[in-house]
Amino acid sequence: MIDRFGTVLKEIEGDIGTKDLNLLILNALIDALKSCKIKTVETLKEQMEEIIHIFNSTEPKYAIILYDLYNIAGEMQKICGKDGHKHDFSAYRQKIIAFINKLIRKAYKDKVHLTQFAERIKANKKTILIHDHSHTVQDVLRHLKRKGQKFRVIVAEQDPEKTFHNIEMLTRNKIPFQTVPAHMLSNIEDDIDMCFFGAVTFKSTFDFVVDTGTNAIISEFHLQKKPIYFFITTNKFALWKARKKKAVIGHIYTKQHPFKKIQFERYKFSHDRVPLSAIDFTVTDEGIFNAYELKKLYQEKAARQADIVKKMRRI
Amino acid sequence: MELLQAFSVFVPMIIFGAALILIAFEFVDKALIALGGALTVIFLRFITPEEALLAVDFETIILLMSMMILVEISRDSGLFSWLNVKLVSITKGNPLVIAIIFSLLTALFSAFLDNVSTIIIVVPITIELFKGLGRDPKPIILQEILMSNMGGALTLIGDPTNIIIGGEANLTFNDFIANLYFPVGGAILTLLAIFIVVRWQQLKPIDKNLKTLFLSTILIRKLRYEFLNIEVSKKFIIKSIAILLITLVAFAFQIELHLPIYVLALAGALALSILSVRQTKLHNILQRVEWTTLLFFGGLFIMVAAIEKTGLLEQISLLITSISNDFTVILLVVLWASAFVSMMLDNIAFVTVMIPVILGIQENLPNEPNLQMLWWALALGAVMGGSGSLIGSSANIVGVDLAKKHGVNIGFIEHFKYAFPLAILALGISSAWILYRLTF
Repeated sequence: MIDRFGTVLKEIEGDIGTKDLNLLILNALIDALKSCKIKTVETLKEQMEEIIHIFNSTEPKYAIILYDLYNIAGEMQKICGKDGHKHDFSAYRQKIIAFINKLIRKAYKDKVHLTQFAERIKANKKTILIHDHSHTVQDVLRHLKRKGQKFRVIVAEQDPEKTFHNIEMLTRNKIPFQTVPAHMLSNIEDDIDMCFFGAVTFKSTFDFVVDTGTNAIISEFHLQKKPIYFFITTNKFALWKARKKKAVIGHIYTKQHPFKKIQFERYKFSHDRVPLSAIDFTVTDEGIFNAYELKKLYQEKAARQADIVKKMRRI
Repeated sequence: MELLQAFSVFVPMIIFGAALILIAFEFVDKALIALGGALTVIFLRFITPEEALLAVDFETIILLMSMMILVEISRDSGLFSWLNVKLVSITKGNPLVIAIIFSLLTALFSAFLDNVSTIIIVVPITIELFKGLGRDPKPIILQEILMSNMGGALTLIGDPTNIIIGGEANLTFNDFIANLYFPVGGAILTLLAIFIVVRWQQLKPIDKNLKTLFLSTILIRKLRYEFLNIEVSKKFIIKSIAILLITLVAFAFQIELHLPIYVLALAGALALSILSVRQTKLHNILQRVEWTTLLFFGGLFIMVAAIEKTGLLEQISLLITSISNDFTVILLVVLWASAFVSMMLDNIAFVTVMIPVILGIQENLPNEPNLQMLWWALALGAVMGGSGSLIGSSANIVGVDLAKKHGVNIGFIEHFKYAFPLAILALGISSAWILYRLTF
């Protein structure tokens, strides 16, 4: 079951990104709760715990989903605490669904808050470099354009499908852009004024997990002292102690030369890791932070989360 | 010299037989084989070029081409993807409901679209759902392939063999539905019931297990995202639905309209092409029309005309009528012989050669009141028999190929083990229907 969930989550994340994956998961949980024929609150609680266990065991773990699942579990405990043990199951289920809907609304609000904080970035008449397929970066660019800032975007090419998504978004929103192969970026370093990146998660090791290829670009532009902005909502923080040093899944497979009878081994990786020290500013739904401030924010959130988990275990 | 002349009667039949074998072994594209056979009979003077042109049934070819254009434009509109996703949502992730809805949907689509298109539309979504749920998708793929064959038997446009029979026997769209709904519907429902009983362990409800149900709803949401994220125009979908429905209604009122079905289909294809000129390029649509299939038909018609000219098919008709004085026996022979031949050889080629044979039997039995039953026996035998083996129909081959692309391997024997007994059962139901029709 863990493998099946892991495979499906990885596939969806690859297609639509973590933020939309989270929304999809929350909506699917509502669908499942509505159709399930469980009859008691206890059974539902047990099965929810099993679901949390599954999401805690997938490789990689999705912080944004776990964050919401823990919140749902916390809410379930709260309702039980309030109502004692005399709950009408369907009313209980309704309350849980209402809470999930609240989380969905919050996710949209977080996006709005993040883009509002992003307004502070002075992007007018600047050239912005983007690379990954981040919906958050896309939202920010759209918002800045709507707010009247006029800027140009350079898209560093990566996986063709993801690059095309970026191109489609920029075209739809009439944002001027050019593309450049990622390995040729050094030729236009001087043209770039700032770099925008999204992140899959932020870990207890104070590393960001990002799309592959991002690390090399950040290293290059960090050396050139170009401002590097990261955009991430705080519910994407992985609020647990990272077990492995590497959160990157790689595999080697055999590839065939397209024209000649040559077979060779090819490495492929799911993500890159970027140290917080390489980033100048992180824009979140709670404000814009430098590296020191972000560390502090993370530690506060992690402590709060540990408290919820402790309470759950006690119950 | 006389011996040589007597032998020459069999030459077109030998050429036809050789063509069938080459087609079965996929030596080269079947269109090339059929056209090669047609040219050979012309070069050997078994038929003149003028007779060859007259032998080509352009009504059938125009009908097939028009239906292909209609389906391709409708597919471009996203209509089928949209319908698929809507239906998946209705199932709420329940495997039993998924199996029932998609089996019936496949049969229904196949009745009005070509079987191959139906398989391409339906199979990928069910593979993704069943694989995602950690269940073996093979049974549902095989079931859908079977349903597409069965559904195709219901209407004049459902299967190429029916198109040929309808065209040559002057049967209308309504004739097919009015006569075949019972055996085809009976076979579909029986096979579905058997599938549910045999596969109950895989299909039993999951609504008491939140984990599995949650995984299922995640998959449904994923599919909805993937399929509905394709840029579709509502207007385009509405136009496609409207023209498809108008065309089908026109088929039903074919007699009242005093227009042959191929004219109605061509009018539908033309209307949709004009209405969707902004959304789709006719050039691209025409590229996707299976011209090789249409050329294959042309070649077959010419080869069969050459065989017919030798008088051999007349002899076969006489032979069949001499089997028994009982018309029921003749019908059952046509049904079961068509079925077994269709399992081994291309059923389109077989039906084409059987048309003059059936016409011959009808001439030999002028006093028999139920002569039309011969066409239904041929139609049911060819389609249901074709479902019994992997090489029996193009839907089987395309379905198995699609499954392979999605990492599910279904071999000839595996397909045979599953499909053959069910095809025999469907033929049994058809036989019972024939007996019932002749008795009551």
